[in-house]
Amino acid sequence: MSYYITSLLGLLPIFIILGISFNLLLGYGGLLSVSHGGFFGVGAYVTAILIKDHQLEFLPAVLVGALLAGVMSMSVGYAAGRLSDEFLFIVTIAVQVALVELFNNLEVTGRSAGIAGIPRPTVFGQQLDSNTKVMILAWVMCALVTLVCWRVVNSPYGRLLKSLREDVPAARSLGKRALWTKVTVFAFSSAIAGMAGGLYAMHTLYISPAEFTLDRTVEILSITIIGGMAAYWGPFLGALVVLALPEMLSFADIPDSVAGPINGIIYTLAVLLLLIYRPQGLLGRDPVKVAERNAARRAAKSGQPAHAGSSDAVPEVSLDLFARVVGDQETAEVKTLRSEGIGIAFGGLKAVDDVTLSVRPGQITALVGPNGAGKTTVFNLLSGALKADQGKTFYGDRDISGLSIERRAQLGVVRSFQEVRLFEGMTVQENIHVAVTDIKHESLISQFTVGAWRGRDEADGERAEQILRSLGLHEKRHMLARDLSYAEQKMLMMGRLLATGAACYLLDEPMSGLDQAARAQLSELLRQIVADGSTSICIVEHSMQVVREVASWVMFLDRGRLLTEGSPEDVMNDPELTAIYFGHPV
Amino acid sequence: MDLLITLIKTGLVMGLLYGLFAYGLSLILSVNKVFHVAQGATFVFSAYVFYTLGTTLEWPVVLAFLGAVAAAALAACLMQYLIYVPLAKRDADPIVVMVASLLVVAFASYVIEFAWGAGVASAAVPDWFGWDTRIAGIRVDVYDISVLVLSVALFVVMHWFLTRTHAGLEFRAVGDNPERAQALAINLDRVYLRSMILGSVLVVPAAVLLALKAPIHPSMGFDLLLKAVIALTIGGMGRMSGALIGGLLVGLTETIPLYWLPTEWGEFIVYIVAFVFVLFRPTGLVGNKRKPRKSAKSSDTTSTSDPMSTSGSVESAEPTPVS
Repeated sequence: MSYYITSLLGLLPIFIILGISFNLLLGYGGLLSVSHGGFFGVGAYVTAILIKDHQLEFLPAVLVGALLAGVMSMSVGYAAGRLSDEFLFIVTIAVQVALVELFNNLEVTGRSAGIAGIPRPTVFGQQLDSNTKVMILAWVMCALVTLVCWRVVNSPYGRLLKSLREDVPAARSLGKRALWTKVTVFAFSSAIAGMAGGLYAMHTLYISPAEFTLDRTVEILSITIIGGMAAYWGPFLGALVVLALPEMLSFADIPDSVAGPINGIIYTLAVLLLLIYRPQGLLGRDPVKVAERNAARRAAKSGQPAHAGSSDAVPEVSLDLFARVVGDQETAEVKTLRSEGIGIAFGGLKAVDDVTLSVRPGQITALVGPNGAGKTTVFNLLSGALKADQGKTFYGDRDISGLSIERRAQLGVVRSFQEVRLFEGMTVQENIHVAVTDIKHESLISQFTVGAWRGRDEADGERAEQILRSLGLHEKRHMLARDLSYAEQKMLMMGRLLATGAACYLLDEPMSGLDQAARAQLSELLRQIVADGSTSICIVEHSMQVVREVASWVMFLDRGRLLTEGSPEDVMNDPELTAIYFGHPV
Repeated sequence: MDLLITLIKTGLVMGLLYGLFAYGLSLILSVNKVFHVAQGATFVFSAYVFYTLGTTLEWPVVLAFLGAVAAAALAACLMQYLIYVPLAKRDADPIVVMVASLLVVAFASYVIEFAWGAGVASAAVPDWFGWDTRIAGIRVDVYDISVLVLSVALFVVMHWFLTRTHAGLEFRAVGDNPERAQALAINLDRVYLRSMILGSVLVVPAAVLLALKAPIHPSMGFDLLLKAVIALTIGGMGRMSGALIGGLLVGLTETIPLYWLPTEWGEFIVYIVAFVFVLFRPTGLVGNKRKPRKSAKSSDTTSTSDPMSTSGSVESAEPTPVS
């Protein structure tokens, strides 16, 4: 009996590690990978082979195993960065099956028979000669993984991961590295799974390909879902359920041949029911509550009363505060965004043809023209969302034609979308916090450097709060972005752009859908932004009234060509242009 | 040389079978916008029903086949009402829908293991199924011919259905733009249910043929499903022709390298080729690269749920190329 309990207790931490690492992908990253069981296997095989055939100690062996699993999974991470969900699903299934086929066919992995008679592990010269000692080793590693992953999840990296789960193009438009982040999270998560694999090999002392198949992946998936996606302590409960269920059935009086399928039926059914009726899992909690609790905790730590923030919050948007937000950025050298003869064609259609324009600092430039004139496409070309077929784009003296959207954003050219595209499942505060954080502090490694412990992120958080205060959103900072009203969402979107500290803003219809009052506020904000003389704004706008109100320079686009530019009065009083715009015959 | 020709023939027949399996998947993907992995469950379930009716109860093959069709339709209704409708109601993430669908496959394989036992089962084969002949020195049997005839026939019928009949046009309209289709008084729920049933029934011929050809087992759903999914990816998502062409390519990729390599590496090669293929050409062979026509709304909401217009890469998931 004690042997039996030890065996179960030894398996539990391994499953918890698997669940935690998978939660990083599915729960926090929103990445459905079906190859986790395979990378678990890579770790198990490498560790077993190194210990059995090369007499390595456990720690170096498992490190090599984890490293190999991590490196191999980078290809999957690369796929995740480039492909949509369905394709990622297929790619990971292909990798999963290919890995099992490898285990099945390679000489070194013992083909379908697997590897038997793995010696017990040695740690620092000491052989762990009983199940209990191996169990303790597993729990120690589980505790380590729990700590490290806790740090990762609650760091700028974790926040970035969540923002990528919500909306990749929006995150990229803020200068975030989507592809690299996904590659690293896959490598990190799979390396941890590989570590679990090494522990598993030490626990069972016998491994075969059948243990690392798609069924295992589904089991890991179940652990995560039962506990709750993005619920940090979820895998603890999930692993317990998945492990204990077959054991409980073995006490019931049913034959073994039926117990297996019954166990499978019960847990797949339970997971399905959870998915449909309680998608947040058993331990999943309302993100709003979590945010409020964390804030209260932080406030308590710094010695302030928990809700001090809400009393001094500004109910109305205060324009002085705008100025403060804007003025905070150090004035960099003045740069002009300009394009020379850019053009792009979709099939036979020339959407933008030979457009040369500049967005000058200290001015609000409006890009106007009828629907289908190519205004948004010009924006996509300027911001790097589309690559031009011809022509060049410069920012200052630098040729940025070949740069991606996130590189341009890092240089200071950011854009908004026609839709608001907030990170809807994150709180208002997090939306801004992501944008404030410098990408240098968002890499996985930098979460474990000295600076990361010295309140760097808290300072960013404080700055985010300050921006929220000036936008009049401070009181709602713990709400989910999707629960804000439309005008508030637009404000938040502007705040998120401002938080990046960029110097050139491309705003696609920022005023659409706003009422008079909100529009006046936003216009004032835009004027404040360019008042420093070094910041430039270009807006796409349909309402001539708005253009007259805010713009000091107007560019008129029709059928992909820049017809004319000039002051608002000149352009709008041109009868020919009015005819094109309003569709009247000349 | 004979070996190579035999391998090619085997590859073609297997490929057609994968294509046959992928038709339904492709239909459901393009109409319901659901990556219906649970098709694997329907497949095994109908194969076992066919086995029970035809072998255990000794019904004639035709009746057993009809019984399997009914079973597939029933499975489709159950999945639609118990899984997809509740998930759609709470506006679940496409990833969650896919996870649920995957779990259904696992669930079904356990249920079948429970009801029919974990071992293999061999269906009784009618005498005429054993007939074979030699064409140009290769053995061709009834199975090969049936796979060929059925996959081509179903392809033609489906093409006719989708382009010439009112119901088929409704399918395509809903697949293209559900909101607009609804505005034209098309009942979305009805179309979704119909396409789910039709797509599920399309898998029955493959299930029955495979049950007659080889012993069946509870986890066979996964194996064939994966090949069909890969066929669909290589051929191009959401198109009948893509399913057929992709199926053939998968079949050939699986068999032809065996001329030079040991048999057990066939599967590995298929999956590695699929992996590389998806990485470098996610739109498939039949897919088109850039679609200029896309409303702002759809680019907002479907960056993950619409496989036909996102064409896989992040770049093309960007909003409206033409404003």
